[in-house]
Amino acid sequence: MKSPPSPADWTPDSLELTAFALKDGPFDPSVPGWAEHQAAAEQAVARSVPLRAEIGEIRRVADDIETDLTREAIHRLSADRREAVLAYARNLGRGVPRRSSVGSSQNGDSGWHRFWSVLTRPAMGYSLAAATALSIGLALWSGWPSEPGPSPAVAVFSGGSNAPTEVALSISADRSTPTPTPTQATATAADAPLIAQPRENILRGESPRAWGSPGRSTGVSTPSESPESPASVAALVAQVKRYGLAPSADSADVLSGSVTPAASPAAELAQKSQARPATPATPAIQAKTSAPRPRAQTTREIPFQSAATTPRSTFSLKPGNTSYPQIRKALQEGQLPSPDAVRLEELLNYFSYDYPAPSGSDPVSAQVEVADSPWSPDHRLVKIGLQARPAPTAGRPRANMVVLVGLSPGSSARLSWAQRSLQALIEALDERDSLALLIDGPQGRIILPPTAAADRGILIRGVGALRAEGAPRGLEGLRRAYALADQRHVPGGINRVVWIVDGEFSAEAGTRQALELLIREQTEWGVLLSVLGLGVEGSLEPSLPPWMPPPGGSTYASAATPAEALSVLRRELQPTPTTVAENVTVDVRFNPARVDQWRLLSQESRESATAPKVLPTHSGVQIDAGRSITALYEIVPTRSTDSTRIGSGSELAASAGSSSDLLNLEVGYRSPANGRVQDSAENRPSRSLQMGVADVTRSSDAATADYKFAAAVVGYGLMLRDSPFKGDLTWEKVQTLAEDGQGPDREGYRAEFLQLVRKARGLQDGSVPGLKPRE
Amino acid sequence: MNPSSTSNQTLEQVEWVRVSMERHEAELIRYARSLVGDLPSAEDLVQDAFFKLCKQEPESLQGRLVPWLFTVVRNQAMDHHRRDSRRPRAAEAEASEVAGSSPTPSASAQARDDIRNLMSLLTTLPPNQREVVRLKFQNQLSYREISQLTRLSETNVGFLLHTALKTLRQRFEGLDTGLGVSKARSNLHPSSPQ
Repeated sequence: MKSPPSPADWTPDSLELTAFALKDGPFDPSVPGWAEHQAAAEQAVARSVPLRAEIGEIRRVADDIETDLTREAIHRLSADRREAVLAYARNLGRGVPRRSSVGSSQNGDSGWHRFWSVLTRPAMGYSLAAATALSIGLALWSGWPSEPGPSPAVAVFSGGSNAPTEVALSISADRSTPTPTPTQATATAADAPLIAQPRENILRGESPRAWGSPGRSTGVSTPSESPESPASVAALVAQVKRYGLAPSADSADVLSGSVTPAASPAAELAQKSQARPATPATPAIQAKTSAPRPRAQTTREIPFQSAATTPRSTFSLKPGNTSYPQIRKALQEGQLPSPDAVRLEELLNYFSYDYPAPSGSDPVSAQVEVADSPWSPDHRLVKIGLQARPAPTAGRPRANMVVLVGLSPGSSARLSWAQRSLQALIEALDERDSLALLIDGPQGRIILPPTAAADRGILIRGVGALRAEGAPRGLEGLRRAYALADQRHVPGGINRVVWIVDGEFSAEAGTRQALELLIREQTEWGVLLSVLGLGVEGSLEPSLPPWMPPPGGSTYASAATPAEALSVLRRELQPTPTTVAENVTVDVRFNPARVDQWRLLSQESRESATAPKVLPTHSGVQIDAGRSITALYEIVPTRSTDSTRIGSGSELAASAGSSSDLLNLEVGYRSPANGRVQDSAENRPSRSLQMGVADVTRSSDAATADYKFAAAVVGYGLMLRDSPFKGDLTWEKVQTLAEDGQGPDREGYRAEFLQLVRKARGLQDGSVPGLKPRE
Repeated sequence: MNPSSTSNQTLEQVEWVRVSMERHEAELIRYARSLVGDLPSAEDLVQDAFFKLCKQEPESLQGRLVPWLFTVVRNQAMDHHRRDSRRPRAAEAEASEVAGSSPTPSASAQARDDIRNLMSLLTTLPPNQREVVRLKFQNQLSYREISQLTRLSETNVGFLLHTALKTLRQRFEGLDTGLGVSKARSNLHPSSPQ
């Protein structure tokens, strides 16, 4: 601004005041000389109440305008339009020289890419373009067509440019034309590349006007467009088809169409049925998951130990999580699982139980429940639960979630899982968060633009409107999802795209590199990706198609059930897990005065199997916020309460606290380092949490639902293993425990377990006694 | 098919174009629509702008990609107007977006109506003010960028914005008879100044 009035002379109506209030113009910090302007203005404003009031008003109105304007409907380019641009960019890289302008700059409406704009408009594009091209082709190319049964509905553009890639492409405008047999079509699809023989570019030098704008003809001929144009158009069209994200079956159509010029609906159908297996099941996934799994090593349950000689025990704080899904898969396929697949501690910890959150400064709480063992009533079953402090929800950064649903049509069950899980996710969002939903399908429909979670009703309706809309397109959908994430990017917050897939991936191999670039770039930008495979057993990764890039900064999870899907989604809402305690150790000391023998209901770990006397020490383990761990011990009490049996363990017995205690539990930990220098391990003293557990005599019928459920889960494992330790356990007992232990079961895990119990029971009861379960 | 260096270069170029589209297409369409009225034409303009972008070197536009894109869209919109001068000039897009509503005086408390009011008030501004308001508040361009794009001086941009804000404030207050609009509006966006 030229010679602006000195800030000292400003009135509330000075336009400089507006600039100052908006921090723009001379008060834009990136402008040279800003500091002086700013200082002078601040001084003047500080002295004047009316100026300050006016600044407040200006900013308020500006904020309102900004808010309203940014709420205005958002439109994006259609996928076709975008792809056209990208195809053009790719084409330029293939030897077509770059120019400073495109097409006719004098008359933007007649540029050849206008032709493409029209072509990419839905519905009318293809047929118009094809019809136009057809007439040109027929008129100008006497050599065409050479194939028998020329189809008037198909035009072949042949582009000869300085690029080495000559292209021919067909557009089928009239699918009712008689065609070669499907066999022919498929055969050629396999070995005919998109690239046709180079031919003379008969269209070179023709006015692109003849090509252009069939939709909005103005009748004006533009002499001599850039000579590359016609070739480019043909190349472009081909490129779009080539690099476009059409599902593989459709690309097969395109491929075959380029040589055998037409596809009748019948031929198309036949091709499709050849391209895909008859069943709509997930070919890729099934092929992978039904491949023989490496046989699990034979596992042994930890046997009973004498409390007198071995009074101390510990249990794993990081049990694995593969056993339960493996069992479920076997049962769903109508087979009993291999006993080796059954790991008691993994089954137990597949489920979550209600434990009180730690109080005070302790990062972990412990809860112990004792009752008579359901399968050996003169034994006790002790359930120990550890619960880590939950992650602070108030401190959670804002979440900007975008969910891309790429389910193939026909999997309505999976769609309803996705919906249920998303509804629960919405409940977990708070008002500051936002959620966007879009469908990965041919239309790439955005169901819900990024919407504040305060509008819960809108979000729920959006979830209800989710549909599977045809084959997912992968890359294109993901790009849109990232674009949506961009709209509400929360710096330093949780910016996440959740990509729900169902294993029916279809994308061309060439998209991998693009996907990889995309994901890497977005991860660097702070938008993390989670791929959630619905209905995918076990790990998603081995099932991933080759074009899917390695995880990198993203997480790949699979969910075989709705409940698992929900857990995954909830987890994605959490920021990076925070460690609440380090160097966590668990020490269970049995009182030999009360305990004759004890046994941890767990598989022996591989290390300990070689040295059965020494239980692995689980030192140095970290515990993340919110995590819980459950362990079950079976105890054979001493027959009398006198101390006659105390032998070599007497000193330990003394340290086990009151002699009436069954056991003493000690959880040692160190607070996590906060990254400060003085936070070295030495400066963070070890602390511990101790509790004595008194013996009680009560029937398992009187125990809590959680206890019964835990007993059911382990009992189920014992039955499936036909364990020597199963006592008088029956399937009926397991089922009763599972039924009584349902509890609130908010996520549906326990109900599913009950089904599996019934299934296993049916299979085992129906099997010939002595017959080994199949693997 | 291609030497890998070429294909890498191409890939970078394509990625650059793609990222630019991702980041800017929506704001460009909004802007284009405010200039030409209907959505399909706006999409045409924006798509054309990206076609043009394909021919640019990323380095050459470093730091000025957004103003460049807006400029291309704007120039094309001007062409569009010249070409379509036979047709009645498209009244502002906003007019159709707000369902042809004239300001309703009783709308002070309702959030939705509030927005409508503001949007319809926007349509009452002269086109040059309207455009500057959009560029500044919807597209977050600076005075300087707006000045480059519209070929107005920075002072002129400042003047247009200043006048537009004043007018909008006065009209908005004029709309509101009963309730204090400023109060209603600040309730609307309690956290907007973050």
